[in-house]
Parts: sequence; structure tokens; C-alpha cells
Amino acid sequence: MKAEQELELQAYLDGELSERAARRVADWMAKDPEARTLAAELRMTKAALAGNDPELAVPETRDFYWSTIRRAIESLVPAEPNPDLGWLLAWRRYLVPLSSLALVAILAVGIARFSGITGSRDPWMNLTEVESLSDHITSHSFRSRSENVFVVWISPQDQVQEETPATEEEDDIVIQ
Amino acid sequence: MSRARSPRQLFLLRILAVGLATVLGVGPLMAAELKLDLRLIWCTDEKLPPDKHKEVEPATVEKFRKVPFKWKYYYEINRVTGTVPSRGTKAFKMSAKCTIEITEMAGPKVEAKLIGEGRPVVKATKNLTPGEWTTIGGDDKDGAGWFVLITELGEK
Repeated sequence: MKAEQELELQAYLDGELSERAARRVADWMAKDPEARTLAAELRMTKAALAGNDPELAVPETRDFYWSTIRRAIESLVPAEPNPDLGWLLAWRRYLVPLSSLALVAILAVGIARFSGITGSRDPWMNLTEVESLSDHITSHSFRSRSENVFVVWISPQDQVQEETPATEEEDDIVIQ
Repeated sequence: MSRARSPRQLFLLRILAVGLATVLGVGPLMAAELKLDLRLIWCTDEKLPPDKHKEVEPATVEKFRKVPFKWKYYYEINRVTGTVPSRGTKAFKMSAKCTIEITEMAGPKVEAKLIGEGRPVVKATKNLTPGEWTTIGGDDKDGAGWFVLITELGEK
């Protein structure tokens, strides 16, 4: 007899099989003497166990006994997180993506500033190179910050030597 | 041995990659043609007959005075608009003697070269600053002056 058959027979005796399976096992038992023998042994064992279950008495009262178990279980359960720090724990999962986005934003702003994409008014945006291409000409240049006007002014070389030295001004000289 | 990445890590890596590609890719794409307005302006303290010379509009004159240019009157001798191709050069003929050659460069930068009577006179290379006006000019006889005002069209 296979182990599966023995288990099915035990389930039959315990009333755990479906109606159809139970009929099948009953037919099998009717035909197989070995199955009948095993069924008789199992019935006898079940009856012996049912009549001899040990009676265990709890020393404390029922309520006290269960409350002791409950307290023991509660002592094993971790304490509830501090509600004041709950938002921090909730945001912790977003820290990695947020820090990644911040990194991308910092890179974007940095590269944009150095490549002149934003058109921001930083001093590097106004870097200018003015070069006189004639020996007879000298140039002045300056930038009016208030009016956002850049001026290149040329003068004949001899006139400049008499009047003012060639300089590159930053702001607020009068042109006339 | 390489470690397998979770879907969340792959998502974050994709975001980083797209962000970096966007940031690094915008710079080269910014190269664009320049639409410019150039005006040859003559300035003097003497009032000229209005039928012969076109006066510069008061708002612009006020700005010139704040630069500060101290002439009383400003007259527009010629006005030319045109487009400088990306990374290219265009010459703007302002008068029989005066030509301005503009080059759009990487950076974005602009080079403005003044050519007088066929000979290069002065060259200015500067970063392109939004809204900025550029003037190249000089003194004329009898205390007058002239300059070419260069502005980018579509900006104020």
C-alpha cells in the first residue's frame, strides 16, 4: 500500500474527504482486506487517544493566564515610532531621487551660467576685447551698466596723444 | 561580478542621463542666427532742418543722454536690418565710407568690425548680452560725432 493511500484512508476515517472521494475509499476498502485491516487499526488508535487525553490544569486563573501571555507578546513587539519623527521616515524614501534631481539642477545651472544660456547679468558676460586695426586710430571702450549700452569710440592717434592716454574705461565717461 | 539594479535605480539613472544630456546638449544648440538692426547716427549740438534729416525718437535720445552722450540732437542717417547666419559673417553697408562687419561666433559671442573707406579700423569681440546695445563711433569735425548703433531685433 502506498503512503498516499494510507493518508487518504486516514482522511476518510476523520471525515475530511469529499463525498465522491469517500465513496471511492469505501469501495476500495470493501475490495482490499489490507485496507480494512489498516482502517481497523486506525479506528482503534483514534478511540484510544480520544479516551486518554491528558487533563492539564493551569495554576492561575484563566484571565490571569492569558493576560500574562498577552503582556509577554506585547513586550516582544517593537515600540511604535515617535510620531514627531514620522515625517522624516516618510521622506527618507524620497531622499535619493530628490538628491539626484538636485544634482542635475546644480549641473544645469552651473553649465548654463558658464555657457551663457541664461543671459544672467554676471560679470563674465561682459567680457569684451577691443582691438584697433589701424595705426592711426586709438579706441576707447566703456559700458554703461545703467543703460546696458556698450560703447566703442575711436579717435585719431595724434589727437589722443595730445588729449588723453588710450585707456579702456568701465563706465560713465562723457563722450563729446 | 556586476550587481543587478532594481527598477527604481534604473529609473533614477535614466533621469540622470536625460538631465545631463539635456544640459550638455543645450549649449551647442544655442548657436543661432542674429537678427540685427543697425543705425548710423550723427550727433550734434546744432538743430538741423527736419525735412532733411530724420531725428532719432525721443526715448532713444534719452537713453543716449544717460549713457552719457552730451550732444543735443541725434539724426538717423541710415538704417539697415539684416540677419547674420550662425557662425557666419555679414557686412552691413551704413554709408559710402562706413561698413560694419558682424560675425556670429561660439560662446555666444559677436565680433563687430568697423571698416572705413575699405580699411579695417577697429574690432570689438564681446559676449552676446541680451538687451544690450552696442555703439561704435567717433568724433566728427566741428564738435559733432557719429556712431553706429547695433541692436538685436526682437529684444528691448
